[in-house]
Amino acid sequence: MPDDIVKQYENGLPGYIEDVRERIQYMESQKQPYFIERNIKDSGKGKRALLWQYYMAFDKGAMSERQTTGDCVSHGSRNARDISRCCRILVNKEPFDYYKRGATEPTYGARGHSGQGMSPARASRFERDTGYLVREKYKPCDLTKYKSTIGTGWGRAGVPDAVKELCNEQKVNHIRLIKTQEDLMDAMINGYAAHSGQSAAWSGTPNSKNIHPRKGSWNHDMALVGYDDTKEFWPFRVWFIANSWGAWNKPVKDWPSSYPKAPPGLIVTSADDFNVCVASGDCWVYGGVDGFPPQKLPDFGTIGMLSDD
Amino acid sequence: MMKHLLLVAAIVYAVYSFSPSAPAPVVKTGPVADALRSATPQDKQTVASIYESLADITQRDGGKRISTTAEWRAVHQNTLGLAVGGTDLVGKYPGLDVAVEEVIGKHISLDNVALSSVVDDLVAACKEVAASAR
Repeated sequence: MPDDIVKQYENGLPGYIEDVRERIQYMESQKQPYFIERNIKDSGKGKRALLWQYYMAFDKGAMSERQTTGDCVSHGSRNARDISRCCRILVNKEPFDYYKRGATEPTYGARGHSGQGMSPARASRFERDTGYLVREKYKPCDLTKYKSTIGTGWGRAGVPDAVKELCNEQKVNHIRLIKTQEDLMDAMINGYAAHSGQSAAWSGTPNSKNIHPRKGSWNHDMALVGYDDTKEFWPFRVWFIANSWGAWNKPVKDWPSSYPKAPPGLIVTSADDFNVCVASGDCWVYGGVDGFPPQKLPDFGTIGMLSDD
Repeated sequence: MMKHLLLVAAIVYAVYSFSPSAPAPVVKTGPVADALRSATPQDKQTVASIYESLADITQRDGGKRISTTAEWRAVHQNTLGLAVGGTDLVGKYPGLDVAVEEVIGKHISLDNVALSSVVDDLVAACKEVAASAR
């Protein structure tokens, strides 16, 4: 039940573990540690990117998978990864298939200990260097449905070699740290989703400003799935955070009618309250996720190129 | 992606290297010929040149650089975009895109497969489009 996991986090379940050494090692392992793209600088300012809609266009149940243990980092990273993957297909029109929802278990199984919780830096390293799998039945393990005991069980011994070999098929080529909200807007307007780990919590009940205010503290990681800086519906910038607890909260009352349907448990937060997500130093943006080659082509490439449609 | 762009650039260059020639005095049939029934000789030549060049490139590459039909589709799209995108040819002949699809569809399926397994069929498709257009 969602209530159980909420209580566990309220009682201090360490789902998100900050590991500074791991983060520094990760940053040192790639040329460009931070997402600072000069050619798209300020492209997200004053705009909105509601990225979850692209994920839900392929998978109506996206972001409804409810975590049952402290594996939030693998849920946050999976959702960011899948959204970036969907944006490559629907926004950038790259010829890939969505194929299936991503799996969380291999990432969580790579956390390096038998307890609960994970460092996002460690998840990033695994997904960049080893790769990821989807919700499918593989020979060494059945990942068709979320089963927390699989990732939990791999714990200290790590992900089995046979599974890692399968992960190698699909990798995330670029995972970079975000330093500012402005950088994150630039990333999102270009179709890159993120996730972040922080010690902060949000109320399950929206306030009179039509947002979920900060309240309490969770050591938690969640996917960052959109923002609206147009001030059209809120007089300030808002961010949209996808939690992985199912329908744990009350949705905001005035949901813009022109918006796509919200995923269950979505947190709508002000820029001020959101800042902890980038200030924590564990806000990771996903780019260049290896896609799945299409099984069937939509056409041979002529449609739309010789007509006005 | 870079290698695909180079291929596309080569095709576009080849397309514009052909000088327009007089149309053959033969009444052609088939979806592409039907779609281009009212076309000017120059437009017919442009379409024919694109597909002759695509046939040539596809044959010479043999699936080495363009390894799957999905990649070939992207090359095809980019070729059309660079060769005729933004010109008045786009939208001028309703049904031309569907007609080209129909001809290619006679030769290969929409399955994403290794290009090496369908090179000859794809080359034949491109040549048929070119011949019908001319």
